Amino acid sequence: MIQAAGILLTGAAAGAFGTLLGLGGGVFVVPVLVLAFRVPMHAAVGASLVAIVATSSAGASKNVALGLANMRLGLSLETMTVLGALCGGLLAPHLGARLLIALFAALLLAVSAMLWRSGPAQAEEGGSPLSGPGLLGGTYQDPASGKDVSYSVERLPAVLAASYGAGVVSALLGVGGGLVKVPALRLLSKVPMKAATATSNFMIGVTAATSAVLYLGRGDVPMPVVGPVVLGVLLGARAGLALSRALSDRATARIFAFVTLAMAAQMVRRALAG
Amino acid sequence: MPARDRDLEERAAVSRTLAAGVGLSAALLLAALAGSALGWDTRAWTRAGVMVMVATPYLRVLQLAALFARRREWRFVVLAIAVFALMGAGAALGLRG
Repeated sequence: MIQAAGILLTGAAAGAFGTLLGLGGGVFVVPVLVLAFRVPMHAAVGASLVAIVATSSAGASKNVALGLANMRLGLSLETMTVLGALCGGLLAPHLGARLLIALFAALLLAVSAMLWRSGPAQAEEGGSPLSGPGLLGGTYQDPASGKDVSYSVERLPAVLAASYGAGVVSALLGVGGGLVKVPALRLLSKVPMKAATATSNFMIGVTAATSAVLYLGRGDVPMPVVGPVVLGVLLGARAGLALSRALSDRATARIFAFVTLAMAAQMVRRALAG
Repeated sequence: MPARDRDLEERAAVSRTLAAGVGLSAALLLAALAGSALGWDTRAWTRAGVMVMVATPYLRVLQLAALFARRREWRFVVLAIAVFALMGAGAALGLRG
């Protein structure tokens, strides 16, 4: 019972960060389950994938109602993330773990640096884009400032390519892929940070559910672990949502940059250790 | 119905689907956790909770296809069906091993 309580708290922390940053939370859940609770790696990834679906669905149910999650943009990008997840799943057995970890660390470092240095997105510069939101853009009321924010989506082909990469990364490393999608939406498409994290969160459930079915089929979702993880994630997601309403776009971007930097350091250590 | 009201109604419908999936799954998992504390065998409840949770995004994609079809936004209907087909293909590939 004490272990279940510990796993529940781990899920709560992952859910809060996951919802705040548009991540699935898998990057927090997997290492803690493996290192602190001695759950086998595959079982930890299986439980994490179900937790990612929970984070996504819980966060998205609120973000969709608020208009923060852009359903048209999310659906368009999901075609590529799911395709990437399928390709990644087929590619995974042919790549060495050390190479994957090193590549992931390099990606995280680059993303962290770009986010830290990035200027305000178009919506923070005050007002709607001159051309209007277009087919995939959106409008929402910023919960922190109370202002209406309108945005368009720039460089769609580049974001589609990044989404494909996010799907591949998700399948290879057992994470939601938000680490790739959020920076791509923010930096390439100039989508405001809150809409980027909410839309990423909306999409993550689809990718994770696709992979979770595979783990369930193989019996790699440990039932005594998955219950406390999912319940914890659901509790944490509520806290993450409240935090995301209170924080500015710049503060969210800075937190995201710090988290990616910390994880990059961890990945470099693992790659060097073999 | 004005476009803005219709948009709000559709977003509320998707939100309800996601919330219902999460709520039902959480209730099953909570019952399973409480039952196991009492020494009952609750693996079937946990499995049911997990299945409901994993099925929720599948339902959400189908719901988007229906909503966009009602709006006659066919390109998004095609995208939703493509996503659902890819999800199904992944499941079939995995189950086949």
